Amino acid sequence: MPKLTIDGLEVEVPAGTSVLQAAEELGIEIPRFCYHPRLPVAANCRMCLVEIEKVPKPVASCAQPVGEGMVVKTNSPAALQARKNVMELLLINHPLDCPICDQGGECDLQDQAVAYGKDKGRYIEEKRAVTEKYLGPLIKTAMTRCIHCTRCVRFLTEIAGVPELGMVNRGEHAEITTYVERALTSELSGNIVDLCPVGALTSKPYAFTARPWELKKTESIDVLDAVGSNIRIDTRGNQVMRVLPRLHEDVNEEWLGDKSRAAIDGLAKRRLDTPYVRRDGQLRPATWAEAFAAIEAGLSGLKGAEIAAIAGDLADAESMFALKLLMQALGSPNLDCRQDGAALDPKVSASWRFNTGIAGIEQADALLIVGSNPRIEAPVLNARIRKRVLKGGFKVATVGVKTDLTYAAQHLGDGVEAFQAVVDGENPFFDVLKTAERPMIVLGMGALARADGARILGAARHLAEKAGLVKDGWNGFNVLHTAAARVGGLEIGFVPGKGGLDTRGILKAAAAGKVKAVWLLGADQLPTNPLDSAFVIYQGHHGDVGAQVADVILPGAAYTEKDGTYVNTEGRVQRAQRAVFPPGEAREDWKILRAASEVLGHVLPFDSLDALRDALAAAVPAFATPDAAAPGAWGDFGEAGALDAALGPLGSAVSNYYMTDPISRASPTMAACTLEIIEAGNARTGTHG
Amino acid sequence: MNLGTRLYTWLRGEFVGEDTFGNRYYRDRKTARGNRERRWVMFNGEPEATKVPPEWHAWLHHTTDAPLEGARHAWQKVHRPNLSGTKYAYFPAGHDRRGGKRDKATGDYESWRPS
Amino acid sequence: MLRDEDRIYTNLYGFQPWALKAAKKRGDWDGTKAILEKGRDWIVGEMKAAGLRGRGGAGFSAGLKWSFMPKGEGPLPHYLVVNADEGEPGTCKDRDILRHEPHKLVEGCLIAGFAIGAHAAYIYVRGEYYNETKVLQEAIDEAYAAGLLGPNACKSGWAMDVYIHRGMGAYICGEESALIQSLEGKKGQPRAKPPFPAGVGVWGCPTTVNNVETIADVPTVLRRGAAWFADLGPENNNGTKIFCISGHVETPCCVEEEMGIPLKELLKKHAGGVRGGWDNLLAVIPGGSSTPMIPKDVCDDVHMDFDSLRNVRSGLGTAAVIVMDKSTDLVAAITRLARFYMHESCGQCTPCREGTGWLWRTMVRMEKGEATVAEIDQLLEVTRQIEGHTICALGDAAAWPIQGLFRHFRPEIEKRIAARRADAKHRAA
Repeated sequence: MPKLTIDGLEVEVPAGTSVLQAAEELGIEIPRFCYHPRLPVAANCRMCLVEIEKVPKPVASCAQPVGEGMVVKTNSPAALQARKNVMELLLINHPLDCPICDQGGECDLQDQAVAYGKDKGRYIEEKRAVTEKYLGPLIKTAMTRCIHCTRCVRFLTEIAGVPELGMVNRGEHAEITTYVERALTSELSGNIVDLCPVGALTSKPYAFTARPWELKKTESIDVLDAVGSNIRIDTRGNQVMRVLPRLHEDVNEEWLGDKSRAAIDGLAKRRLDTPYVRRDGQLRPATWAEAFAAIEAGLSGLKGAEIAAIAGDLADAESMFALKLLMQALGSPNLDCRQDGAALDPKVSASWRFNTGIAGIEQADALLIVGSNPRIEAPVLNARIRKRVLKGGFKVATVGVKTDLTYAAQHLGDGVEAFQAVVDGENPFFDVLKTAERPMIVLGMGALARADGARILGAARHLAEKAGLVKDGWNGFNVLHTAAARVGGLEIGFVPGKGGLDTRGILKAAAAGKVKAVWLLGADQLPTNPLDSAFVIYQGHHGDVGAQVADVILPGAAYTEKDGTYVNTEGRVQRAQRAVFPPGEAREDWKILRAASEVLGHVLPFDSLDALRDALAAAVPAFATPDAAAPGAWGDFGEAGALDAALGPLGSAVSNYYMTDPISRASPTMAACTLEIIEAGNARTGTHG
Repeated sequence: MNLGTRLYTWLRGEFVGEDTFGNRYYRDRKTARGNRERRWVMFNGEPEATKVPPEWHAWLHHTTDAPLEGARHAWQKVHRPNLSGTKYAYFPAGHDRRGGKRDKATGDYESWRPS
Repeated sequence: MLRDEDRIYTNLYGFQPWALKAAKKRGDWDGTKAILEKGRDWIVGEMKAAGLRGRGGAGFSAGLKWSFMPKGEGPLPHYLVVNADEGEPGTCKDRDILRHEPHKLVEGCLIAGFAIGAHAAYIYVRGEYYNETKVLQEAIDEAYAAGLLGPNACKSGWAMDVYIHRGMGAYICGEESALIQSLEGKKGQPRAKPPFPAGVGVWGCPTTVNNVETIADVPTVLRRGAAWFADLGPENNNGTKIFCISGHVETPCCVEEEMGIPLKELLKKHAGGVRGGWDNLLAVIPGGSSTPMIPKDVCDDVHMDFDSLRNVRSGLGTAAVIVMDKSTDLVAAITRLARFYMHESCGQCTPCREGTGWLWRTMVRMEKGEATVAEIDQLLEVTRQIEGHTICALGDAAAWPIQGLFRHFRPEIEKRIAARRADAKHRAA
């Protein structure tokens, strides 16, 4: 541990730490543009120059490792002069168009120019202008503003694993560009907007809509995938203007997937803002009282077994809990939160969690991915796997349709035979898992939502036990969910009660007329034909598949519009906060259920969200401790039996990353991404290299 | 145009000219030493200050000694008095009196309608 | 004056064939095995004793550089990289070595590679040197055929392979870490140091990068002994050096001379003197375009070695002597150099990317006399803003020629500006 002196303060840091990091330990801030703690060091902006005794030249502190007895001065006249010099040179070709720049107000260059800039420029020659680049529907460029810090290049190359951006030409003519004019194909591309220290890369959907100081910032949780990324929702008035990632080392570090970031314009489209009741085969706007009356009429006289409830992908834990209590009061055992029919065992918590934890991936040394494409199901989690791969000593293998995961992975086969071979120990990868110290398996919904999902789950448990995936202090059995509500629903026990039907059973019974009323809590990923003859209550925020078949529509709130609890794929309980109010007549979902319960004559025992949360925490203790993730309890789960190869290859549960839920399906930006990234990619001709 | 003004014009006024709208312009026949010449207008119809076209406005306010010529440029438009309060008054797009169709604003959303 | 028997490069002008047979006659590959048998430590020690300073411009002791390489064979292979990306304007010494004395270089690769524990050497040749590359490749092939290279090079038991990599003509790839990047197939941009190449070099392995002349010197130095080499030249600036004399002299040439030779003597003896006589001399750029120029009164008695030139605030650099007589427009000459550095800046770090263009544009106006006197100070300040603030030395190289010009010829430029002003006033009247 070298000891050094920075500005007269002594500090002891591990060897290999940079001077800049050591200064940060002491709370001394050194200005920087190119340095970013999560990216490789480039040392090209030269803004972090400091003076080190016995070194003749100023030194870039971000790239200088600490040495024993080093004496560093970060604010000596020479160091300050060096920074002023660099700042002047940075600004000579910068357009200084802050009044029309979207970065204005949150711009590193602007801030640091205040500290280190000269009062006037001495450069009287012509400034450089650079043509704009096309980077897809999410990123707007103004490359004249670029200061060539290469953060974006390093992010896409190292973190996202999609080396599509680079610097071409040299000297003054150096430009950051995609080598060919094409949209970036990374699911994490939006992060380069956050990384850009100037306004060269800005958000296209957000362009020219707001200034940072007008926005109200709400810290919340993302629900568009199951990772539960921590986000900050920036709103103006009653509109969500943008979503930015928030730091959470154990979940998303500081990255965010493009869908979570840019699908928010879907929140202003196809909104359910008033209750509807179907009369004479037509849905007609109604008042809440009329809607509740229609529900009462629809449910009256039905036996408990004739009523069912299905929770969708975006439902918060509170509303699922409320609906569960309501269903219990109505005597119905038919409830399910697995609308895709995934064969998750509700009794053993280890069978549905990402037990290793997202941060735990970094400790693993072998990984088998079955029936999942983490790149599109959970891009942030995939970046974590890539990070582990880059460290070396990590073997990855996949079973399922071969895709580019942005890192090297051994492809064992498309179908269940390949998985069976691993389970039986016939495939050499079994030995890799067995000999590895911390092996892990990731089981995707592409495998579990199949008809033989329960048997695949059973085989996976068998493999976990046989290959030593589960041992003291390490649980390498992981399920990667695609829906934010799923784990919450399983924790609450929003699953069939005694003698109850699961999703497949409910649909079959509804088609046969045995289930006469179905309450859909934002469930949109269902085949709706079987529900035609049933009385359907749809409670949700978007006019999607579910609303089309509904007899009564109860307008609920989207995730930005309610205080809700979500449980991510790890089993981490996180609280989302309301950033805006629901539109029109829409209300928070638990309140709707509470009001409906009164009409139905089974008053739910809470009047406030706090009371509801207390009841929830009493019923499921995990909800009492937010932001804690622990591996589930191991047990016996899954079914034995042969896997069904006739069902075809194991695919991913998500076919189009940009459209997975009612919000992203309503989003024009996501539609543009689908068109320009996915379909343009599919349309590549034979000349594509 | 009250009677006093008419009387004053008849007694002391010297007719200077008439603009295209029929407003007649006068000045004092005699001006006392040290005083500024007095200039005034007899409106054609309702007395309304904005009815004075710019070429006469300049003369009336002692900016120029003589009224300016009329349209000197092809792009000059015919003078119009202030139309506020009349049926020709200006209303911005989105105003209720222009159909109420305003541009998109923060917080707007598109609601779903059953098809 | 260097005696003929002390010359290292006896075929510098290509009067004899370059091929192996003729090279052997000149003494190449003589007793290479014996040298290798004396062992690694002996070679490095001998190189340190000889005091051979790197011939690529920086003048860092070659023996010392080799001693920085990790001892013994670690988990990572070691590499020797020979920098033949000779791009410095005015310099053409490596070219003559490559085309007329390739075996000195190839033999040097073997010995140097052995000394640093490398089994492979990469010679990064400037792309424009097409014919030179061909000659070098043939020389390497000859050496392989004769068993001088290969799995058992010179029957010493040491495996040595030599590869040629051709550059694409970027000046910056002559900087060692940019050269390494380029060799790896990446964009030629200098890397931040530390880590130095001796720790993390080509493909992350320990690497030594040496100039062609340094490596080609090695066999002769070891054959004739450190004492012989150290005896030549002034203290701390030992040995001989190839000087490339160009510009306004009667017979421009490349010539090997002893270090520390007076500049006046060098020009007189080998280049036929300055065009129009010594008094017609205006200034000399003594070490390639990146060193500051020295005016005639300094040239009168300066010696050509690293330390003497540093004492007159210039540098030996690559020993490319560019002579300019009184017909030269010095401002135009330096403007051209400023343009060169703007063009060749890699664009990676801020001061050089933004500053070199500023320098050139200001110099263009200076050349015409359109600038103001105050701008001279501003220009010098900008050069100091660039100098020492960059990752590699290109920023310094861009700043120094301009600083040298104004250090010695500032009144000339002020006069030019004043004349232009008077002219403009006159015309306006």
